[in-house]
Amino acid sequence: MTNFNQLKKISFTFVLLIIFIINAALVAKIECKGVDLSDEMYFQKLVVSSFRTLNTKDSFGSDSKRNGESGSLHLLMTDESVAKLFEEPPKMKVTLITRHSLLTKEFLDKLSTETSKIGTELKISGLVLLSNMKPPKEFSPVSTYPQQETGLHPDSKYKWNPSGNSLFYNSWDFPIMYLPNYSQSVEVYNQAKSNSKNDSYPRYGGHLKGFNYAQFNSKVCLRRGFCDLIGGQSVYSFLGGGYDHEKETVLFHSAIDSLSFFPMDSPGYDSSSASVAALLAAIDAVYDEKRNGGISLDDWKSAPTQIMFGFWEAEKFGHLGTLRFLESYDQKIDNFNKDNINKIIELTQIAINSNSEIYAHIEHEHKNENKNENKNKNENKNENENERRHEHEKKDGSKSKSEELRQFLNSVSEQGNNVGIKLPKILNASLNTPGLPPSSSESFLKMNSKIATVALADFNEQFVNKYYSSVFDEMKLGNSSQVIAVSNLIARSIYAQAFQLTNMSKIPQTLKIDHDLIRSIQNCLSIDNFCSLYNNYFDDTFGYYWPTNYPSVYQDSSAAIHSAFIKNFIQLLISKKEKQCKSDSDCKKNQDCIKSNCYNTVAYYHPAYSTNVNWNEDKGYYEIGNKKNAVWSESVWSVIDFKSFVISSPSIDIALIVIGFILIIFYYCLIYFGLKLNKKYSFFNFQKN
Amino acid sequence: MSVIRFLGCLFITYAPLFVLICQYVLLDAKLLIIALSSCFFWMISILFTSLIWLAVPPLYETNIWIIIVSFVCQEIIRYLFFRLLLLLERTINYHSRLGQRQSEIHYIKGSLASGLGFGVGYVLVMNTGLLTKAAGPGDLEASGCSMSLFVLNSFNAQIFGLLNVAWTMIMFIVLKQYKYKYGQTREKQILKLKVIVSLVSHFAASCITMIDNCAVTLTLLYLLLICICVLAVYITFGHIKGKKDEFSTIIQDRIPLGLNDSNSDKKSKHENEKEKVKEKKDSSSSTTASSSESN
Repeated sequence: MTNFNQLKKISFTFVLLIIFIINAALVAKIECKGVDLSDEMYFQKLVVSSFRTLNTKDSFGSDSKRNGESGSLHLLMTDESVAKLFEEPPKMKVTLITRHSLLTKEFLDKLSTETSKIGTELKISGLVLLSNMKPPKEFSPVSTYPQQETGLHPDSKYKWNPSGNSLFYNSWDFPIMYLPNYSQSVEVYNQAKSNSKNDSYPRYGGHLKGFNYAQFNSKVCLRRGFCDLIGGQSVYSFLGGGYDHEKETVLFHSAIDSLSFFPMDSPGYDSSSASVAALLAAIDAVYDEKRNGGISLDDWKSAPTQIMFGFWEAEKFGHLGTLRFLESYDQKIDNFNKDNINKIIELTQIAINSNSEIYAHIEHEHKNENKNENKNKNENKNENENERRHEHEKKDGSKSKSEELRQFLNSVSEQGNNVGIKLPKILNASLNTPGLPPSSSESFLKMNSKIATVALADFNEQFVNKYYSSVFDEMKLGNSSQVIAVSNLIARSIYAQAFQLTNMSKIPQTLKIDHDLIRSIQNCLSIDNFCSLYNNYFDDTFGYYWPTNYPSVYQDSSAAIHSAFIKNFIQLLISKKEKQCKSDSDCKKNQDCIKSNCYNTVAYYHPAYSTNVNWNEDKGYYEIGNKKNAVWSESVWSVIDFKSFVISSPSIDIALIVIGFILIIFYYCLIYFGLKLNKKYSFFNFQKN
Repeated sequence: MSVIRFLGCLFITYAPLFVLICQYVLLDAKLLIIALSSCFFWMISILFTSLIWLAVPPLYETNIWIIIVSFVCQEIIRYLFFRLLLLLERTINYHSRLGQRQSEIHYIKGSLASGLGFGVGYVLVMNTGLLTKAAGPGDLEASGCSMSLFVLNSFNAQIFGLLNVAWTMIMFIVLKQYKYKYGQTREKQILKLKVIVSLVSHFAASCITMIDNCAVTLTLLYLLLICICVLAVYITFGHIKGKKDEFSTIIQDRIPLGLNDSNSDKKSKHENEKEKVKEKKDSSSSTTASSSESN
């Protein structure tokens, strides 16, 4: 009987165990519906960081410790508060909340020096810049002569970009981040402001994390595998879709990338997006038979001059796109002959001008930079201008090819304006400059200085864009009608060049760009990476939270969204739908899968990364070559994170641990002395085994 | 500072349980096994509570109903574990009396170990998640007071850990007493009352946590803790100085656990009475035999 009862009980236990296992299995399939306390404690913010980039010599950007650091939010909005920060440092570690106007090299260097001193009182966890502040009068983190090292005038002291402060080319060991979201900026500002009212607890704190793995320079980090080459995919195409290696080629091109101190927020409206939009809208116009006077695809193929379109990636890092195209062409097109390119028209910065004018820059024939820079511009301006004007005239009085090209554009503009199409007036750029401004055309001229080249820009002697290569280079900075006018000019120039017109009145009056299209493209490239226009070209959009045309790292099999959009845009203009597909492998060779359909390839990718690297198959990494070209790379970085939260008083934390120790001792004494009392007074007999 | 806060909360939460475990449970492997088993059983009770919560959507928003469900599940599991402990105790002690090399389980220690297991289980489930958040840089104020949620929860966990030990000991010992009270109605009623007090205090403690004022909540919980601990000590050891409760002798009589060497020679009162009756019978039978012989 006893055994049966025991058996009954043991069986009961087993049944219980089986029920538990079944329940556990059920629970495992059920989604947990709990609330994460972190959502209540931490106010996560979407930030962009100035992560580490490296070149052959050094590393740049900001960095943080691996797990980040926390500090009390400290508002820093005026010069007085900056002075006070150094004179009377806060007693606790702080996260500085500041604005762009205070972001100067002097301030950051002083901050770096003060915080790294041994025994210093000033301790910071990093800087956060807010977007709800009024932008500074000027802010350009690149140099005063961008891309000079790989340009035509590497030794010139001329300042194309007077707002340039070269902040991008420095490094700091604390994180510097930017809050692009306006409402989150306001929230952080209010939290920091409440801290500044008193020193009591609780107060608001911030935790910054943005660890970079790369150190020293590109050579070391590429060997260690802690960085990747900066680059992407350039896109090029030919009018009509086909290539004829015997025809002379006229290149219409633009750089497509942009840069800022916070690369993941680089709208680059004036520096690249506007010119890309203008060129794409012009291509759209010339392919439309209703607007181009009935010219079909075959007519374009049989035109006497071949028109080439180039969209170059990673130009802001030393003309990586154009240099690789010219020095290491990947032979996607058989018999491609770059020597046939005899004219270049480039769109550089075109958006900032309210007078409907555009400056046409050409490279000067004779380089007399030293003479011109030493002279006082005001006194000798007229003398210089006459002298330089003569330089563009050959000995027999004829003009240079570039000058002729400039005249061509002028005639297209005049004719267009005469028939009621609003085109910008072409102005000759000043002769007081070294020549061509920083532009992709410099790479072509280095290859062959005889190419007739005109670079259209909204500036004369110096950039009018005070926010070149910064987060403030936004669409609201520019003039949309100016971009439309330039696009119309380009469309009509393409027509005239293709058919070698001398009488511009033959250009169809109907040849005009689509205003809605150009606005949509500008919106997609510089405001919203998830715009509706992209749905026509992608199955899934893969943009970033903030508009950025930063090239990021080179990948053989993929391209940044702006490159991919340009390629797909041109393909869908020319090619027809073939069979359905899910990926490129479902299509034939020389076809691409776009929006689940195969299209013949008429726009081509070309790798854009440094020409000074060689892939070492045995070692499995890129090795730096012997050329002088800089090798730019981007560090591998961990999660970039900023969150604000409430901080309690440190004295309470210390009190807690003291109370904890006291409680342990109390309970031990309670039991120990309780037992002793029991022994004395025999309350119970409690024997150990 | 966040690590210091984490350590402070950790010490506050686990202080009493840590001391009790070090003093008693860790010294005996069987007690350790009992404690781990009871912890596991407590986890099962919480598992059932959460399954019921998942299965009944109206429970999602209403705290009182989930408190009731959780209370019922925990007490049922506590009772089931009591039955399991009883079986274990009889099995091991039976083999011990047969001379096999197994030491016996001291019943009170077994109850204490069970209670500690339940307490540790409670603290682990209810407090570990919050403790890990306490190690971060941020803090969170509890609603209804200016105290940090982590600190409040640590004190709560400490109280409930100790309360679970007390409730377990009360229930186990009272149920054992109840088993051995044959036909003694009044004492059985007193025992029932003690169990009801334990159950009501459990429910009351759970309801007190719904009060939106930290100071009131903690004060009431500590008062309840002191009362229940005093009751547990009283029930466990059966008497105060100078007054031995009948239970303590029954415990010594009915559970041949070899409580201490000084008592090993003493026979139980019942055995003494049996012997006396037997002697009387023997003497009366011998008297009858002698008288019959004489006749």
